[in-house]
Order: sequence, then structure tokens, then C-alpha cells
Amino acid sequence: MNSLQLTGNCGAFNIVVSLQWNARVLALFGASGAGKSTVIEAMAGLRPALSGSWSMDGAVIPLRAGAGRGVAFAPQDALLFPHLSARGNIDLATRGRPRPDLANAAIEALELAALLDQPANVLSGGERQRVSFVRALAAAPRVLLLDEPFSALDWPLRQKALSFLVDCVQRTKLHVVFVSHDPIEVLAVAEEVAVLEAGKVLCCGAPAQVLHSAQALDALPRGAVENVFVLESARRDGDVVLVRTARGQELVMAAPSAECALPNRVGVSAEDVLLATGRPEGVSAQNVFAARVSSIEPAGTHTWVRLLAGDEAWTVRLTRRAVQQLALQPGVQVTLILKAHSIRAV
Amino acid sequence: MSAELVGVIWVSLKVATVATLAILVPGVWLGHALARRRVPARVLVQTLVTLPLVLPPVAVGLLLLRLLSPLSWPGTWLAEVGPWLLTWKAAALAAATMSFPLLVRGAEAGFSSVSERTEAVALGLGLSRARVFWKVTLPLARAGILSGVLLAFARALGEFGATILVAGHISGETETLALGIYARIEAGDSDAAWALVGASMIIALLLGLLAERARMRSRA
Repeated sequence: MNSLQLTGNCGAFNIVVSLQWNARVLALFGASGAGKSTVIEAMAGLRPALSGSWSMDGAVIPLRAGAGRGVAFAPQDALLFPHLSARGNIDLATRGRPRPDLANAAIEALELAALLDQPANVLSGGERQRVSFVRALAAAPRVLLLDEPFSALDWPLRQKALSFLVDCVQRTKLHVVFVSHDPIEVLAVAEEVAVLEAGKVLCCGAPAQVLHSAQALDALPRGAVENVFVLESARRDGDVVLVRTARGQELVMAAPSAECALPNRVGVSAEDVLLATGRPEGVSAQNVFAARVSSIEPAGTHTWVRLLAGDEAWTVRLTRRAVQQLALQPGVQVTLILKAHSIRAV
Repeated sequence: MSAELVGVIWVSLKVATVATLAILVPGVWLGHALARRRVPARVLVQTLVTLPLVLPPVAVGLLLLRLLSPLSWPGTWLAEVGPWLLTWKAAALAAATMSFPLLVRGAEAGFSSVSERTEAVALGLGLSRARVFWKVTLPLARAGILSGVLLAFARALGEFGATILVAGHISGETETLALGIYARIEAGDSDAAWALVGASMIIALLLGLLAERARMRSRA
């Protein structure tokens, strides 16, 4: 059991965090300004103004940065040491010991080998983030703290980085706490997620459940991908890809460019889904299938409608007006309509 | 150039170098403390450090003279190591005292320019405080420290008022460039005075070049 207690003022609001988790990978999730970075920086020992306690598997970790804590932190702004090369940054973290295999593997996986001799201050934002991530691994920590570690990376590289991180956790005993505002990242990497808002923990639990709660959905930026499906298969068919989700839903998505690999996860924004009470005829949308309303949750200016199509759960954002016009209620049968272009590889 | 003039330049360089080296560690330490730590009675410490810059050099010389006199306890203690008054060591002490504020100020500015967040991140990687200081803080503060060192050296090289009181004007022992120029003008030997002025200018030029190179380097 791991636990974190934090209280104190951080300017905009008071931080009052009380968190318990069991998983090796915990995500701190929430909208910008929710206090995620403050919390992880406090864990990294950079916020002496906040008081509290932190323990991992019963071992207390002081909330004051320094040697011997077994913690390494990669901040959101990378903050490389500007007077050193990329290699110098990574090797400083090893404290004179040989570079750990994991750091070498990360250099390989994140395509950093060619950049090692570059001075840190000429690297691009994405390159800095990658070096900062490897630098944290080079410290051979027991607990790795990552603040939006791959936010500046382009999508293919980000996917590589995420699968490397997942692989890391599986192969080693590393614990990870990472901050993200991207549900895809959370679903891909985290085993548990805590949703933060204004310095407080709203809810904590398994990502698949927590991220579909209204509280978590409201923390998402507009146009985010609320529906993420793990794929069982995908195959090209002309200019579309026919995919089948792990729970058996078949979908038609527009094909990514030829050089891109076929996806193993797809996402659909809750705003992109249409509902109809009858079966529409002659629509261009490639995905038209039956679903049943399982719950309706009003939330401020909009309404979250949850549906079940086969075994796959969907979240759809509608206006209250639309819900009234269609007389939607839990249990009502509807048709779910989705353009091929609304399905994105994630 | 006569051997005598070469001797003057040599004494000057020796006195300025020894003075700068002697204040290097305490100056950098104090600069770091002022920039980073909670120093008790900070204003008092800063005022004391700046004092030699504000006081007339002759006044500082008089204070040092009092300090070195066999009647004071530091004087008795120093006398154990050998004579100080009217030696090149006294000239170096005078130069060191006058240059100290410049080195401290340079180092303080250098350390203040290092982002505390960068240091914090280094600590967050599990580095010890000592390693963060040597590997992150000190290299990043280098430009400020270096400019402090160069200014201190230049100040030490030109020291006159305090030096003449504690070290006197002894050819080959305490006769620095500043004292040498003054003595030659007094004696009406303007050629020799100009030669020493020329030598001073060459040294100043070299120092300037060195400072510029250091500045460019730390920028790159």
C-alpha cells in the first residue's frame, strides 16, 4: 500500500491531498491548473512549503529532495542542465556509477543516440523531454516521477515512449507516478488514476472506470477522446481500415497514411457521435449500429449519455435539448452513428 | 626596458595574483551564502563587505596598519609567521582587502543568476547537495564568478592608497606599478613613468581580452 498526504497553500488554491493506492503505476489526472504538477513536485521534494507524508510499501520517503530517497523526477519543462550535453545531463544523474541498462534501453527506444553529444541548450522541446526522461531513469530510482513526460513529442514517438514505459514497469520493479491530462496516456500506462481538481482528489481507481465518471470527463479539455477502445484486429480495405475492438464491436475508420502502422487502439470524441431513435437510411456515415442508453448524467451546460453497444461502453456528449427531443431515458434503444473520419488512432 | 622596470611589473603581478588567489575561496563562499542562504544580519554583512569600496583607500590602509601593528593581537599572531609590515605580503593583504568586495559581488551575481529550480531538479534526481553545488551551481555561476575574479585582479593591480601605508615603497619588494609610476613622476623621470603606464595598458588590454573571451564562452 502506498499513501500520500499533502496540505498547504500553493498560491491559487489550497492543496489538500489524501491518497492511497496499490498499483505500481499511478496517474494524476485533471485539467490544467488542477494542482497535478504541484502535487508531483511536492513528491519530488521541490515544494518545501507543502507539508505531509509519503510512503511507498510502508517505507517513508521524505518530502525534501536530496540523496538517498530513491526517487527521480522529470519535470514538465524538462529543465536540462544548460551547461552540459545531453550525455552530460544523463550521466550526471548516475552519480558516477555506470549508466543503468534501463537508461541505455531508453536512449535506444527514444531515438536519442544521435543527439547525445548535442549541448542541452540547442535541443528542441521534444528532444529535451526525452533527455529529461532518460536522465531520470539514469538515476536508477525506485520511484519515477514524471510530469507530462511526453507532451511535446509527436504522436509516433509518443507511442514508442509510452510502450517503452509500460515495458519498463513490466520488466522491473519500478514504481511510476505520472501527471497527465491525456486520457489516452492514462489508459495506456496507468493501473490506477487519481483525478484532481483545485488541489483536491475527486476520485481514484481503475482508469477504465474512473475516466468514464462524469467528474473525470468534466476535467477533460473540449474535443478530447473520451471513448478509447483496445483493438483485437485491424485490416486495410481500400481507403478504410476495418477494426474489431477487444469486446467485439466492428468499426470502419478512415485509413491512416500508407507508411503508418495500423493502430492497436482507437479513440472517438464524445462530441463526434450522433444518436437517432430510428434506423436512418442513406447516410454517408460508415458506422451505424444499435445501442441501448444505460445512463444519463446532466453536467452543467451539457449532458453525458452513456450507452452500451454489444459489450462496448460509449460516452456521448449531447445538449439537454437533444436529450429531451429524443426522449432519451435509460433503457431506450437508439442507433449510434459515427463517421469513419471520427475514429482516430490513439 | 630596464631590469628595474621589469621588477616593478613582476612585483605588481605577484602581489595581484596572490591577493586574488587568497580571496578566491572566501569570496566565492560569501557570494554563494549571500545569494542563497539566510544570512543573519545580511545588511550588516553586506555593508561590511562593501566597506573597502566606500572608504578612502588610505583609510583602509590605516586600519590595516593598526591591524598589523605588533601592539594588536592579530599583529602579534601574524608576526609569528614572519614580518608583514613593509613586505610584499603586506602589499598583497592591502590589495586583497580592497578587491574582496568586487569578487564577492561578482560571485553573488553569478549565483543569483542560477535558477533555483534547476538546482532543485538536480536534487530531485537524487544528487547530493555537494554534487549539485560542484556540478550544476558552480559551473552555471561561472561567468559571474569569473567577472568578479577579473575585476578583483584588476583592482589589486592598481591598488595604491592602502598599499603605500602598509607596504611602503621599497624597490624590488613592494614597488608595484601604481607606486612605481608615482615615484618616477615625483623624481621627474617621466620616460620611466610612461614606460610603466604603457606596461599597465598592455596588462589591462590582456585582462580585457580575457574577460571578453570568458564572457563569449559562457554565452556559447
